[in-house]
Amino acid sequence: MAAPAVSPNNVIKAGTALAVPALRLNWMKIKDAHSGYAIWSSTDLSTAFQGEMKVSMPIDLLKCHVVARELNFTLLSPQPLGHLRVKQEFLVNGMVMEEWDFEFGFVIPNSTNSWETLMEGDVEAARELDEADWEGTEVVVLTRFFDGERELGTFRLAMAYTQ
Amino acid sequence: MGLLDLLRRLRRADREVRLLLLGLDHAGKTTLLKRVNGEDYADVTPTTGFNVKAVQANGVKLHVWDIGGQAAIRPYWRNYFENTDVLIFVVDATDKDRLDEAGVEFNQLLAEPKLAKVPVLVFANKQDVPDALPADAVATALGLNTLRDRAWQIQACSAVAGTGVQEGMEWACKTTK
Ligand SMILES: Nc1nc2c(ncn2[C@@H]2O[C@H](COP(=O)(O)OP(=O)(O)OP(=O)(O)O)[C@@H](O)[C@H]2O)c(=O)[nH]1
Ligand SMILES: [Mg+2]
Repeated sequence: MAAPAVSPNNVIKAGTALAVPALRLNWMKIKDAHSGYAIWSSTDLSTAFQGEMKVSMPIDLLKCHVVARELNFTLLSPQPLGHLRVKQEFLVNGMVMEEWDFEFGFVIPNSTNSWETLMEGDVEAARELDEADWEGTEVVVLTRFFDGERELGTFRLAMAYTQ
Repeated sequence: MGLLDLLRRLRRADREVRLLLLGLDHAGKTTLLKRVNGEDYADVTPTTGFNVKAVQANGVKLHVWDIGGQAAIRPYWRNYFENTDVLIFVVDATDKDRLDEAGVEFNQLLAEPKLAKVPVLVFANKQDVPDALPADAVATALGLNTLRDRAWQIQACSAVAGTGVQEGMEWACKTTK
């Protein structure tokens, strides 16, 4: 049997900006959830859908028992979105270590919104590797936005841990 | 106290819990959520959409939704009613001029079919301000004492001083629908 044709909709193109409606990412913060302390916070993310963003993370992040990630975004449209959802993946050397699916549903026209996730024992494997192993390991947080089945954009954040 | 601590207080049978924070603009919803989450709340600005916190541990999920309360946004509130386990209504107890307005909004929420039987927690917020109305006066203004169709609780609190917030949130977690 012939392999089924791959629908273009199923191809994940990291860093692709798709047409309307315009969702703009504003900023992202990564926090130690126990202290509320922001370990890392991004500057302007308005071009985040247009490529990969490479950042270096303090290696202390690996010592946090609970890591929180907060993403702030704006819907630049006088039309609401009906079914906004995200799929966020945490990849270590290309392997999915953690996955969040979240349904926002309705998004108010021209609104600014925030989404924070907290997970206990973020990346169990962190404890198995020592710090030296983490240096040079590629960690990627991939956040894909959809309205229903329609992909709105992908934000690819590549992190390198440094002392 | 933090969201993870609250998550641990949920009943074992609950796998996914949704708390919905509503109230007039300037009531202190976002400040309260930040207080619960141990965040800095000095820089809060009026909410034009939602702030959602999603907490997960041992397969149990807690989702807390804070929606903006400006009059122009209130018509959108109903998009967020579905699957709500506890409605948390925040009142600025120092804003006596808008207490009636808060009461009207509150009673409209109670009449919503999607919120039928959903337990309600009312925070009488800003108790750190000397002339804030006490919780029982806020309860009377909202008509809480005549509520028969659901569990309810009134809690005096101050999101900035941190008083009363934990008590209220603990009630919400043990009263999930
Ligand atoms: N004194 C005092 N001020 C408070 C308290 N809680 C919130 N505030 C202040 O009230 C103002 C409004 O707070 P927000 O948390 O933005 O109110 P909100 O309900 O989220 O408002 P919208 O997002 O517009 O719906 C801010 O200036 C807060 O600092 C409190 O407990 N005491
Ligand atoms: Mg707010």
